[in-house]
Amino acid sequence: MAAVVLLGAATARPAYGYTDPGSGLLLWQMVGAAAVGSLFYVKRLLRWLSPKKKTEKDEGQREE
Amino acid sequence: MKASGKSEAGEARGFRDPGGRLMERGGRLLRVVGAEGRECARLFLEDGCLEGLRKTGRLVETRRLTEAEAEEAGLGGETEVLEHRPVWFPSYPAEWAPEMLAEAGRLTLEVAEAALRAGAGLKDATPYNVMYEGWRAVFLDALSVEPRGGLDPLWRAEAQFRRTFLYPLAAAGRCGVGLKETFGVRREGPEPEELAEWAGPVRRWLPPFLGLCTLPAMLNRSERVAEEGFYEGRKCGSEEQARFILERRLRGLRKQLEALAGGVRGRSKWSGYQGEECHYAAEDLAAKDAFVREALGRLKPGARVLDVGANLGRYSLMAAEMGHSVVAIDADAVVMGRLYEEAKRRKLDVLPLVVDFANPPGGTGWGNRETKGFLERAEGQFDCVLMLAVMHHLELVNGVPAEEVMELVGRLTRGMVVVEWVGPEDAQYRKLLRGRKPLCADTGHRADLRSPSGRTVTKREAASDVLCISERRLECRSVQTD
Repeated sequence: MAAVVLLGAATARPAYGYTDPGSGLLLWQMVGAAAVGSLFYVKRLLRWLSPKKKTEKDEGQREE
Repeated sequence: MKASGKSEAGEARGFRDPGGRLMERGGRLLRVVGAEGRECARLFLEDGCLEGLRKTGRLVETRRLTEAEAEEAGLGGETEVLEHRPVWFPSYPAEWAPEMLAEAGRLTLEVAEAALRAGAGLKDATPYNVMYEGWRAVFLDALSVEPRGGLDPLWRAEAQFRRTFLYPLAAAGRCGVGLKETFGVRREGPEPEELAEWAGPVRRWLPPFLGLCTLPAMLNRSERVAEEGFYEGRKCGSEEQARFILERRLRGLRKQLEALAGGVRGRSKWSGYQGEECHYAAEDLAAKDAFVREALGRLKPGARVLDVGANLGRYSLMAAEMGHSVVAIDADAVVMGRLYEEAKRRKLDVLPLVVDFANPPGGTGWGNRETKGFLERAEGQFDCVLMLAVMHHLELVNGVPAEEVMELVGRLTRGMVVVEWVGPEDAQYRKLLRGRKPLCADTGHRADLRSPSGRTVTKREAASDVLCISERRLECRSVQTD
């Protein structure tokens, strides 16, 4: 999953700007972002696996 | 805010951001916005994302000049000109207590979070974008908020945030390297390798240093960083995912900041001076308090006061309670940190700065003009200078004669000086003397002190201008210009 999220996948735009992004620090940020990005899918999966909650929420919304 | 030198349009104060340049002209702070910075200026001024911060006074007051106003300011023909309300006493990270750097870091993260909520980003994260008005941190850089690529999950300024906020806090709290040392030599903060070195051979492998600097330092040597395209922007699956990642990264940085800020509170040689190590009998202290209060009461409300050697700020807080604006200086970062926390808790207009009056910081940065020296900023700025129980330190520890001290003080104040002289009979004086013969033979309090600048720090002998308590003598003097 991390591979899906891994940020080296595609180039979006050149990094303009005068701020030094670091080298090891940028790579460390990419590792952290990949880990957090995986968590995003885990959360989505958990939400998908809990239909009961979703149904209750939907019903609540319908009543409104 | 940075200075680069005189130009036709005034004194240039900022040149690093290609989006615009900042200049000082006739006491006004003007920012010329280039084509690259126009969208940033719009986001800062008009987008609702920063409204919460603006309402609470944490963004510098900024307005866009009309064409006629820009013309009048000598900047006609420029695409866009902004005017900022100047901060009356600018200060810089090398002069802050670590608690103040932490507060500036919190504000920077708040701006980054607010920008993210609006789909924008913060392009730089440096403490030079923040200044203090009393205890309140104010964000200054109107061109820092920029449009963000919606799929990009990386915050380009994170490395800068780590190097200029987290690393100096870790160095101050855990390695004994103060902000003066850190920022005095490294304007952009230390590199990961340097912090790992300061942490030592064992601690560098333990939290917080392991993730903070040791692993990033090892990754600096990775072959990946040399690959083509490494520094280019990234895309992830969706905008929602990119935002999810950025929100959590910012939250993680905030947690780290709070953990490191918690480690800077300590004790120092002077942190007990006004408490358990107080040198005054209760009645002497009450008499001194009354004398200083009476002297401060002679000033108009809103007067500007400089408290030299303020320690925990007993008299700085007193002056602020009376409605004055105070700059408090002391060489000890621990006591200045505590004074900052107290002023912030009580919302009193006190700006504590870690400045050694015997060796104040000079101009720094490019051409030594990016930040002005302390004395240049302080000259003629104050209505009153408090020099309470500090003269004997300057004389005995630093070898500066009283005449020299008064000459300098006469340049800083426009009105009044309150001096507390501690003589050779005092136990504290003898402790500092260490068996030596006094350098100045206690001449300071005997006469008027004429300075080469033509100002005289005049001694007056009205009963209310002098107070003698034990071996100490307090005087309220006025400054006159020949």
